[in-house]
Amino acid sequence: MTVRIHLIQIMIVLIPIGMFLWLAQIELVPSGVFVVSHGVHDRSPYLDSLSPESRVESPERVNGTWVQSLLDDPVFFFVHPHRHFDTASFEIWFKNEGVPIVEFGGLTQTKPESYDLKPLQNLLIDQLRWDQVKGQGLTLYQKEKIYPSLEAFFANPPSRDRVGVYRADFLVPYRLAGYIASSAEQTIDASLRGTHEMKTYIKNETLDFTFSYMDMNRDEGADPVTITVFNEHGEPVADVRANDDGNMRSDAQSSSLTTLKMNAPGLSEGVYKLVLSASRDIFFRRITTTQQKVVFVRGMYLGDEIGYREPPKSVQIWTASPRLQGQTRHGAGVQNITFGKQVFSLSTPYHLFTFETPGTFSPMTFPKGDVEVFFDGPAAFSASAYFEPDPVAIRSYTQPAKQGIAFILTSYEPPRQQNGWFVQTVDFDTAKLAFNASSWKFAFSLPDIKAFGAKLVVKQINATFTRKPFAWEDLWR
Amino acid sequence: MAMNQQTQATLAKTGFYVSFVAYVCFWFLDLLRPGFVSRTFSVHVFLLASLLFGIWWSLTVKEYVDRPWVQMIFIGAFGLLVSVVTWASGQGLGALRVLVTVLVFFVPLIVWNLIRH
Repeated sequence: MTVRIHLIQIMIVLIPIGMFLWLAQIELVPSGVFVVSHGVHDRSPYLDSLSPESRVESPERVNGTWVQSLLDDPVFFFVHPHRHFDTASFEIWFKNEGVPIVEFGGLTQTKPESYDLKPLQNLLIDQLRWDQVKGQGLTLYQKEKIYPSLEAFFANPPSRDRVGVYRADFLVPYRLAGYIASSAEQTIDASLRGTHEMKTYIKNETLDFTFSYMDMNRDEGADPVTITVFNEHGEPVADVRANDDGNMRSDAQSSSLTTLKMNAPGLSEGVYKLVLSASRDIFFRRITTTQQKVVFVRGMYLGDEIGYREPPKSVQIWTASPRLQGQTRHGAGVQNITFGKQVFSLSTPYHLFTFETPGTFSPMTFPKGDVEVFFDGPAAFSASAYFEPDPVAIRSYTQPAKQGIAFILTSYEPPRQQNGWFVQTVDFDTAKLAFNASSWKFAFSLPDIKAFGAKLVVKQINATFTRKPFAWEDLWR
Repeated sequence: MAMNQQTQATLAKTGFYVSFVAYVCFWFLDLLRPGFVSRTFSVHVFLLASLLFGIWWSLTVKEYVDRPWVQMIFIGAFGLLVSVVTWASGQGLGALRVLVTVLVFFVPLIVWNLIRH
């Protein structure tokens, strides 16, 4: 009897000791691998629920399995690692009900938010019944089999406008046949607000730009301006920087017109990207250059001209973008945009309007600026300055047949199928992720999900975090 | 087989001390490394266990020796514990935070006195 009592007493003592050891191995991750298996209905201290609630349905049980539908873009959640990890890998189980492109990524920077997105599924590519050639970590889809290998493709590439790219670099240098440098200056007389990206072509000439800008001091804080030039390999080759005008208040007292010169001689022939990094307080009022080819990529923020010139000057840009998006943030910025023979109305402020276009090269006129405009491909301030240095990017609305795309180059691998679900695994280097309030933020990018009336049904988000195996120093970290 | 009174008292006493010590230890560990315990389960399960074992133990005791100084140590420790909890979670109390924390320290003593009388 006494022995039994002692045994029970020992068991009572061992229970908290066992719990401590169990908790310690969770905390210290001795193997260096920590796995969180997370169903959408589970509550977890490591993975939050999908949010915001307005973009997702509540988890529901379908045939004994908890699932959650994502209805709008983007949908995000936070991950709370209990200690440092070097990598984070996510295995996502989903069913795709018509979302053309599904991507998943981690937040890499805030203000503005930027994500390292990785593909989960690209239905546009998955549904192609084209010939495939694999190699060098890439897949080449060909409408008609012309190239037996990727080496053959890169050795004798087709014209850029026939190549679509998705998550891949088209490593074929762009060369403009018959291009001759000129010393004639051209001026872009339009107000551009904040950060922009431009591309220009250089051949036997000096890269020469003069930027005239004003610091409008509408927001608090310093407003430095940095202009960096990158070559075709993405390497910085020149930069200039200007400090704030000395007024960091938000008193709307604008600075005088300030000039910043970028002069980079001796550059080899090719396409160069200029990144104009500036806050929204900086309004580039005029850009003068001797370069003949100058285009803006991704978008432009045509600034208002209050405190510069009134009435504001109309702006004309040239583009062949198959889709345009625009929004104004002021009632005074409401206007009708003409693109070729079409008229698009920005009828209310703070609404991002989307317009489909024929995709033919045409001028677009903004009667009074004060519009953020996003386009696919380049846009120039004159027809003669326009050129297309990049292949066609595959978007949710891309129509290969209509756009004359005969080749698609991608690093994307379709998800595997298991028990009626798509399963895709994506890996992240946590050194690149923004770590705020002991959390990482991850998001599903589902462009045009609403426009397509589609939804993504998610069942499981399994996370695997890795770090170096346990060392005694970890006790103090 | 039913346990006799003595056996029950032995087990209940062991359970009470172990769960109470475990509660204090895990609670401090959770303070040192937030989430160490609470990420997995509530640290208060040990408090619940010590209460249950304590009630069981009290039911088995026929006679007891009054040790006021031991009681005072427990009351002091418990008063300290609830004061720390009050201070840690009392940011919203503003200027009253110090006063409430001090008053809370004496609550176990008041309750103990009420029970004794």
